Amino acid sequence: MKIAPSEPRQGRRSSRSEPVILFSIAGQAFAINANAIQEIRTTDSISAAATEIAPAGIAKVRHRLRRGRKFFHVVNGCVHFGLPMSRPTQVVVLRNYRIAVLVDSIDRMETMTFLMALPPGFLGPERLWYRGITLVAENVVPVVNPSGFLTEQELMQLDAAAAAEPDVASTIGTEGTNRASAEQAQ
Amino acid sequence: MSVAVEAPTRSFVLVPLGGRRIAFAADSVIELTAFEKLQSFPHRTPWIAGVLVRRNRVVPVCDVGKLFGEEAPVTGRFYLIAEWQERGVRDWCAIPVAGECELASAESVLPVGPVDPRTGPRPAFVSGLIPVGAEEIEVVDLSKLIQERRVALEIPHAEPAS
Repeated sequence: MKIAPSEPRQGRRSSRSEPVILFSIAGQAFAINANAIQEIRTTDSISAAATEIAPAGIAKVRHRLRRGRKFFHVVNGCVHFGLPMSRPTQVVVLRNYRIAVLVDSIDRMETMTFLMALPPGFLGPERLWYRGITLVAENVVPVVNPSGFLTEQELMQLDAAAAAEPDVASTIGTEGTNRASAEQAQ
Repeated sequence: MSVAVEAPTRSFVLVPLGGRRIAFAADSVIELTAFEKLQSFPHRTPWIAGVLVRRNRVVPVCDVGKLFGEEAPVTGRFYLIAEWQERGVRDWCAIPVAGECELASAESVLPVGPVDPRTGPRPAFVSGLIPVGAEEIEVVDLSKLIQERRVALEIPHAEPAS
């Protein structure tokens, strides 16, 4: 057997600190860059701005949320991550993406001091879901990638379905966000 | 004058897995560590049961049943952490081990054919056999095993996270 190096390899761990919001879905903790969030509201306070949409073939999106002149596709976090269904009480509206996420609770804000890369052994969609892994009180917490909640194809599919509705059609396209520029802004 | 030359020997770590033992080349084994709490988060890689944090790294812990096809508990007494690689990318994999591991040396690794006369087709991840006592123990190439599972599940090759 050989002795493994005690220092992490270069590039596997980023030590830049950033503010993150910790939230929970079905008992699982997640972190997200605080700057990626536009607003956080309770589901009760925002229900008047949400409309149920016709199924567009994407099970995790059942609602659309209007904020000013913008529409956001509301992603159910349980369905997205394949977690047991729970009762979401908060809506996290993402900045720079036309996406809002239903979560169970917002736990707190933390300063993340390091981000470990997701090991290459993970081969599924989690590579898109997460930017990496951090530790909070010795617990492993995945740091979500804001652009990972919906793929470009899913966004196009949802936009196409929404475009058929007159009140939405005028905002789709003009308010649409270029994903690449949004990612650069993160 | 003749010079006696010692045949080079290779070392292997023998690991009990289900009802048999398998061998890993010792130079692919990082460490054997005591069992600790498995942590998990949502993912869809079937053979990963959770993760450990060791030496500032997140180490995937395999589900022995799904990776090796062995009836074995997900938990064990130890974790054997081994390295695998694909396309120049290296990663560690922790394998729950319920029994004692042994270190063995072999002067040669017996080549294996595509078919085991007793059990039928032999998987490609078995890179050879080493004689240990009366036993012939399969040497497992972890990199090939993971590649095989990826192909079986039609998971495309994932680029490393940046």
